[in-house]
Amino acid sequence: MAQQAITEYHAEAQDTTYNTSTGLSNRKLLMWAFLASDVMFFGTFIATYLVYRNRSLVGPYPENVLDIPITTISTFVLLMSSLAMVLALHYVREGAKGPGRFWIAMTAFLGLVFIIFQVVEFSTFVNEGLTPRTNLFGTTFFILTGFHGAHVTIGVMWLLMLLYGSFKGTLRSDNSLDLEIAGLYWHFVDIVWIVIFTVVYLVTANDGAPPGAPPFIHGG
Amino acid sequence: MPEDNQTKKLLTHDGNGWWDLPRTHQEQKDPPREGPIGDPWFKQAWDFVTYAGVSHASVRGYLFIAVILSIFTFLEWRLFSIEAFGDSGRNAIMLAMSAVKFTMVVAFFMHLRFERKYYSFIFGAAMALGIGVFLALLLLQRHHGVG
Amino acid sequence: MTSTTMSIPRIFDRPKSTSGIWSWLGTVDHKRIGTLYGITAFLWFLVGGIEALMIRAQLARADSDLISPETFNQLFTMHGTTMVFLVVMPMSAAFFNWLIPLQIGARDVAFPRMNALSFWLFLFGGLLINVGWFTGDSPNGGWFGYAPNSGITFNSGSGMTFWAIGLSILGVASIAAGLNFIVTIFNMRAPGMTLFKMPVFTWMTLITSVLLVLAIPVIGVALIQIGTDRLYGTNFYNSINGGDPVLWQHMFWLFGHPEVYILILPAMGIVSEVLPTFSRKPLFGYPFIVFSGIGIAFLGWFVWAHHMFTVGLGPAATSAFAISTMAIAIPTGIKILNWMATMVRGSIKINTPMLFSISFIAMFTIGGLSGVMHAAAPSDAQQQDTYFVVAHFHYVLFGGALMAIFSGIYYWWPKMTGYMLNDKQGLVVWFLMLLGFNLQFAPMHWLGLDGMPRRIFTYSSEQGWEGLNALASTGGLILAIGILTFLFNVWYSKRNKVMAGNDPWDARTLEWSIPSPPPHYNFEQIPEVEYRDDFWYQKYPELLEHEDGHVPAPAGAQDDDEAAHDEHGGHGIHLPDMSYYPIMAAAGVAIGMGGLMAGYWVIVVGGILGMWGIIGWSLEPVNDPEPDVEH
Ligand code: HEM
Ligand SMILES: [Cu+2]
Repeated sequence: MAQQAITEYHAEAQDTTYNTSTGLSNRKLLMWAFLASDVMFFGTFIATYLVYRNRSLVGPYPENVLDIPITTISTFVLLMSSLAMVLALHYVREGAKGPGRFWIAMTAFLGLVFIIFQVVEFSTFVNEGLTPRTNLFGTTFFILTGFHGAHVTIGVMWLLMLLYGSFKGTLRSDNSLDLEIAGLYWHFVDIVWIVIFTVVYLVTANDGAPPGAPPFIHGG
Repeated sequence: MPEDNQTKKLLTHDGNGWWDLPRTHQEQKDPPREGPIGDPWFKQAWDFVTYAGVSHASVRGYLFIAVILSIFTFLEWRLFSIEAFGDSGRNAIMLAMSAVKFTMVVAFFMHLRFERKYYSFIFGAAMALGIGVFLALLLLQRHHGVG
Repeated sequence: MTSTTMSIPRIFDRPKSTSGIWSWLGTVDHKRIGTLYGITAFLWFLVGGIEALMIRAQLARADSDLISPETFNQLFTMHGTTMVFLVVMPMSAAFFNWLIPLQIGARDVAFPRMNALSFWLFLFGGLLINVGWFTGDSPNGGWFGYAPNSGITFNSGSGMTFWAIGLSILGVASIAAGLNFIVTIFNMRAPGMTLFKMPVFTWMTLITSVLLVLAIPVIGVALIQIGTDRLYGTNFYNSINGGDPVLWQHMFWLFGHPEVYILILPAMGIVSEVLPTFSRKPLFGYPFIVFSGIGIAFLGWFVWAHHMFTVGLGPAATSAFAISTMAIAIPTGIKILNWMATMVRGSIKINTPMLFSISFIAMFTIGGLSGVMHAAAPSDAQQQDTYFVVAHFHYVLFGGALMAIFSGIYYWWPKMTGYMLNDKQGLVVWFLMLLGFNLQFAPMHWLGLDGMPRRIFTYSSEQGWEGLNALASTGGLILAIGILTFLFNVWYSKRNKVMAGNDPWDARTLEWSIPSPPPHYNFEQIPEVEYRDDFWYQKYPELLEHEDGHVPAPAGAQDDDEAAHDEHGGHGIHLPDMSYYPIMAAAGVAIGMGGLMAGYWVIVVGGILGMWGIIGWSLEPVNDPEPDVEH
């Protein structure tokens, strides 16, 4: 029977050919197609941010609040979580239970650290007078990075479920595809951040008051 | 190794992975790891980057990518406070570095480099469409500012 | 094999019944989900139709005060939203669900539970949009929701918020469905069915799914933006703080134009199946039809600003978009010519599905022509926001999409139910609908060119528009009678069943090789495909002009005794078990999102329900282990 693809549940992860018309795994194809969709999702948010660049009518402006050194660190943390992710997949595939679990946990932990960075960043900004309601910069910044943070949060929860599964015996080397797919999602969230870090932070962090708008005075 | 040939090959397909690259260790599924003295780390890293047809790579290969990502991130941070290139020059360099990091993660951490071309096509098409459409949008909106 | 299984507490046992309400709530069968989509969409069609009739009643006479201006705004907003998102899209989804697995020779879609999730999200999202009829303020900002008119400053009721929330839920449903069909079509084709042996309807579904997956996120973001503006006071489209109304227009039409192809491509797929069957000829220019479908889908991304010609984008941008818009008429024209060439020299059989398909070609061509007229930016400056545009998009959407959908209903009804729809009555339905449709929308061309603006609740008798408007309203009435006749047709045919058999039309594609209605598992044996229109050549091997003289095995060997087997019978056919987690997750999402309007505790309730649904789902195996079966 050629078509048993409905339940490719115990499919071999390492075996790159599946019993489907294309030889690709259903679930992996689903994940990549979903990521294509998410490209458009974040693309729209990033485009909005750029369209509204330098169009806030009042401060704070990016130069008043954005903190490049701190964000560099949180970016580094997220990048390293991606490294942890590939290592986790590597060991789970090899059947090395201990290291596999360790790196899954490490990925989730680093993700969590990133989220904490973001929470701290958000509350600092609010203290400095920037909320989503203050101006266009606040609106576009918070909603874009907030949705990214939501993606990270979902990823952390997903990883924790997989970690639980690795103890319960539902995540094994023969169905490491489960982890691989979570990994694709996780790395995607990472590359979105690579773009956000460049576009929102590095490129626009020096933006001050646009022509015609009043400069921002701290505590003013 | 004939260098010019390599660069030429980088741009062509082998019908399998992304690029037609030299296939070292064609017979072995897992490249041998001989340790830091017998086999320099950068050789292993190079093997990892260029070895087509394997769906997973050595830990060293991943570490190599992670080191590159970190170095680039560090450079971006340093570059942020350097004014020598002017605003647009600086931005161009940063965008380029970001593109390199992006490609690294997609190609190696997300394994696209080693996968069937379907996946690359799906993701690449969405990226191309997104970039095209949103650049057009930015262009259209350029003259709509308050300034 | 799975020694350890995880689970979380269940409220109910995994549904197993094959009849009764639970068999529908827990279903993951693509055919049942298709039926659910179809029935729900048809009910919304009646709702949207009533809204349209009220609009026409108000406009039938000059200076009419039947309906207040505010109600009028709500009516045209809800009419447009309903017809686009709750009728044409889910009707297409009904056909996708029913037909794709059958046409590609599969037993179900790739992700049956996700398929159920799509339907339930669609159902709940649609209900949320319509909450306004009970709270008294329905959405009133137009189906395009132009900001800042749709923002909180100028539109303080709850209507547009529910609109944004409901539409985003529908968006999630559409993306999930799109992903599902992409994977299904790529991965689950019967052996031998290469991409270019797929039926054209399958091709158009694939293209539509790609468009859904890529275009819906754009409107999703726009809805999130207008939603946070309304709920939390962000500034995306708040012009007081610099928000840009033009950006909303870009966002909406960036999605909106791909969306019109999402609406029409499935319809094109349907007529591409119906016309060859009743012309008894292969589809003319199959690759041209497929590639122009792809071309339309691609070009459709680069024309959106033709909805914004009067915004003032500047001559360069306007010309560029005028040219790309005219260019898109080329692949569209190629398709039309190929359909006509399919009929040329065919032995044409005239019946209801065929007539609907032919009317599709004619009406869609008229709509396409007026489309090209307003692709010319200078002339569009006269037409923008007039009834001429209303005429255009009704010719493509009613004359196009809906005519094709009715064609599809008459064509595939016997496959779906096992009995035929009475053809004589069908002819009456077709006649009334075509007549009513043209009476209603043709006059709008003249009204529009005479300057009658759209979205006005009344007009003065001095304008001289009364006659044509009265004619249009009469047409609307005839159309309504046509729909009622259709309902009678269904009722009558159900009462006096004429059984259809496997292949009542002597058709070409795989779905006709199996019994009507298809058994739960569709194909007892997965077919092996050798040719495009494989089933046709199995029936008529002599028609093959194939050099190597190879004659395929005759058909019919497999349709003897299906009744003897159930889905777990001796064939080793494994179908996914039922599950109530999809409906649970969907309800959680809908309650949680609706809770944004109701209060935090509702969000919490929805969140818990949704999480429970998703976690339960992910821990639930596709098939419960069968106690007596060895793996
Ligand atoms: C030959 C191909 C087509 C061309 C050249 C075309 C062109 C246009 C243009 C230029 C407009 C803007 C008119 C204005 O607002 O002034 C328009 C509006 C519209 N078109 Fe088309 N169109 C084509 C096909 C279609 C199809 C196939 C559909 C749907 C199935 C469609 C649906 C619509 C809708 C819904 C609107 C009005 C949107 C609104 O303002 O509410 N069009 N079309
Ligand atoms: Cu358009």
